[in-house]
Amino acid sequence: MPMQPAPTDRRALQTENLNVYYRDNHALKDANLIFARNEITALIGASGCGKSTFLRCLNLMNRQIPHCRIEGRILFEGTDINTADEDVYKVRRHIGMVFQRPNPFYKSIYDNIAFAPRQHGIRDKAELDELVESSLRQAALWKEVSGKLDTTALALSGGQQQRLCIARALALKPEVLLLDEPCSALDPRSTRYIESLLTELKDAYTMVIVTHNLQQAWRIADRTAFFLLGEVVEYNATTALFTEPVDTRTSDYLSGRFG
Amino acid sequence: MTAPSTPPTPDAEGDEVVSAAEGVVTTALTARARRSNTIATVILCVIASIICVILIGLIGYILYNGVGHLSWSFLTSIPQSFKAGGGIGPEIFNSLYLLVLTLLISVPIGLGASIYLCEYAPDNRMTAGIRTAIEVLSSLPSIVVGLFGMLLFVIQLGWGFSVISGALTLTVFNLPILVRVIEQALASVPSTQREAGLALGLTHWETMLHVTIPAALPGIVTSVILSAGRVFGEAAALIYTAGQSAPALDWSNWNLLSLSCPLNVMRPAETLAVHIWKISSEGIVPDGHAVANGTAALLIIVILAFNLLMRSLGAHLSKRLTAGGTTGREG
Amino acid sequence: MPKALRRKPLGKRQLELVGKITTAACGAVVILLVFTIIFLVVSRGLRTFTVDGQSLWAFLSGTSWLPEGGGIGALPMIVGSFAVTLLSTLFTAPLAIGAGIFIVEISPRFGRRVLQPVIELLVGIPSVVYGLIGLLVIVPFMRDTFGGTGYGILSASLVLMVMILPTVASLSTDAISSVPDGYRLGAKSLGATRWQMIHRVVLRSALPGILTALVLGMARAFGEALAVQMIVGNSAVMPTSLLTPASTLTSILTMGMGNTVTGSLQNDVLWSLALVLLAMSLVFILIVHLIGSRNKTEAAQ
Repeated sequence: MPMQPAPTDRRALQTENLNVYYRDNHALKDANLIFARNEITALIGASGCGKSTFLRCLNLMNRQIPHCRIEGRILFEGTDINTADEDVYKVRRHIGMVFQRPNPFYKSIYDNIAFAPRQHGIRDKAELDELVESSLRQAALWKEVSGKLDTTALALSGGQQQRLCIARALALKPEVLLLDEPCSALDPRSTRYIESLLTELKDAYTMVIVTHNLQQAWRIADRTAFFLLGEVVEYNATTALFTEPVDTRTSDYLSGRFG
Repeated sequence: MTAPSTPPTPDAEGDEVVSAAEGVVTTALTARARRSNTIATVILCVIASIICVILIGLIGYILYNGVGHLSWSFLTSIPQSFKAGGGIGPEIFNSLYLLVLTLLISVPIGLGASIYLCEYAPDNRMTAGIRTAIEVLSSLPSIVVGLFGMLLFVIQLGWGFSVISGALTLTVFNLPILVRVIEQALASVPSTQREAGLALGLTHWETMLHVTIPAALPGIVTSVILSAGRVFGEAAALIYTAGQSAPALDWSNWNLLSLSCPLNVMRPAETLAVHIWKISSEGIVPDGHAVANGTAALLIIVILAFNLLMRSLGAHLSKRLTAGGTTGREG
Repeated sequence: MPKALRRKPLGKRQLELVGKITTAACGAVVILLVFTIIFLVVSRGLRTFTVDGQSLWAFLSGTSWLPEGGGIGALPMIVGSFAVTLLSTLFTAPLAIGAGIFIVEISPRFGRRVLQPVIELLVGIPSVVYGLIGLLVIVPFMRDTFGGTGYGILSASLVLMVMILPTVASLSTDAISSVPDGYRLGAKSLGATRWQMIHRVVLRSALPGILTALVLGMARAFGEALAVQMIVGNSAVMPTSLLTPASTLTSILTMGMGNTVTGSLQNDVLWSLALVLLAMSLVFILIVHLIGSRNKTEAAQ
């Protein structure tokens, strides 16, 4: 597999021979990827190619699925987290996730963000207020909602809801943010807004984003990995992968010949 | 009627219709088809009106005959066994007390079991066992449930005809419906809500408690009220558990072991529904019909109130949850 | 950071374990309840044959019941139970299925706004109230029309008909509305009238659901105790007419359980009746499952 590994000292997250099975279905085959700190990595490929499966391994969300087997190593800051006695709850605090469809809780805007920190032990009101404000500011939502923190989050527009979900993940101060097609349910304007937001967040977070939108990968990702039928075909700096793909399957996909 | 051996397809009878579309036979055929169509429509409308008439007749009859008997003294005085003029004061309290106790016992268990089914249980033997158990429980005739309660609580545990025997028996009667509807309410919360909670490093338990249950609250409240109506009107499960007598209650007596203490769970407690049955099937009390009618009217009014409460509270809660929402649960 | 990840990882896990165990315990209570009920009823119900040494055949086929002849023949009650169940289902079926068709196919607006809430309200009316109305309306009506006492299988069946109507109607409505719209469009595009479409296409594909609804209604009718007891007459003789007093398993159970001493033959035989009731309710579940699985295999073909 043509690979352009990130420099060793900047590795935030790394997989070694990661295999995923749903019963007998071998959904992900020997994925070896390295994600560099403070970079955005895009995972592209046709539907069902295993990119979402891969993403959901990184914060151990796949463990929820019955009959799903994950083999191989997932190194977070150098430690394997794919072990039976790993504390998944702690892992997920450090590796946040944003989903395809905005899924704010049926709570107020304030509680959407403060809820998880509260459950994780932050009880101090001032601290929570501070956390809510800083997370909303980071997600570029503060100006729009600062006056109505007590109203239900469901009254927000789709794009605002998705930014709220990002703020909700940021409130736990994670190192890594996983985004599973975060813009697929949004209109182009909200999409661009979120893209520029992600680019700004890059300074503080490592991000992995699954996307169907090749332009999006091109616009925001530093590196891109191309998945096909459960395999990582090619992983390289985005510009290199898009302009000079090494593997013919990559160039076929990029030129729209399948998927 | 025979069961179709294959799923019917729209064109099962198509040939006839299409080939008949030309020629003389057609007109006769379509005329006949039209006529039977009209007749069928008329019959169906008649059926619909019959059902409405039945309901209006039922409720109208009960209210018309019973409401007149509802007076302050009837609602507060004690029942008479042999002479006219008895009231239903203790029965009203007993019905409410049993209902509250039953809900206090059955709602937590029902909620727990449905949470297990909905959130934790992989498809294992335990789940299959619970589901089968629920199905068996819900199909048991309530008299059988009552006899079970009699045998276990009244006789074997020696609690006699008592409030607690009645409440525990009603719990058996109430659990299956509670588990079913609460599980439905929980399952109707989008799985993305659960994922959001888990992805924030929360446990299933926290997610369930703080995310799923609040989101499912309208459905849960509705189903609890629905089951409350059923419990309130149940009699067969109670005649041999809570008993068929209602000792006079003394509201100044707070000795929990005394027979006249309202809150004593070891005293027998005839409910409104049992009272209707006893009064009208024994036929000893001279004004039995009037008492039964009055009690039935009260029972119907309370159950209608439950129904209205359920509808308005359910609507109110779901409106509050999704107020102005763009991703409302229904949408 | 990795060290922080490793240290004291168990707060959340313990919470999870506690939650799982608590809720599983609730599930276990439900399972335990069923086992206890079945065990108690079966062990009591079999005493007639094991302890008292009566023959099963005498119980199932005998026609003389305790108070009359001292026998343990339960046949009059068994026949009575089946008679009221079948008759009431027969009466209720056209009304219930008609209501389902009306709501889904004829007038969804009126149906969903008026008829369906009406049916839901009927579900909520307690069975003693049905019994009371039977006693005050149907029994006198029967007495005046056909003579005799007015109590009997026909009166009981009429009350049960009204009682199970809402259950059967709402389940039938569900079955009919779950028929895919494509079937209807197909029939209409071939020029079928609405009635042709309903009875040749919609009803045929909703049949398993409707049958299930009827069986569940039968189960309710079979198990109903008080409303029937108030109206059927409670005379433990072989029914010879629909208009003379008869009895059912539930009515005799309701009447007798309070007047017998635990452990006596009279009491044991009553438990045997309860065992028959329990067995029948399991049979009804089984039938529902058979309809369901047959439907599934057909759909798979």
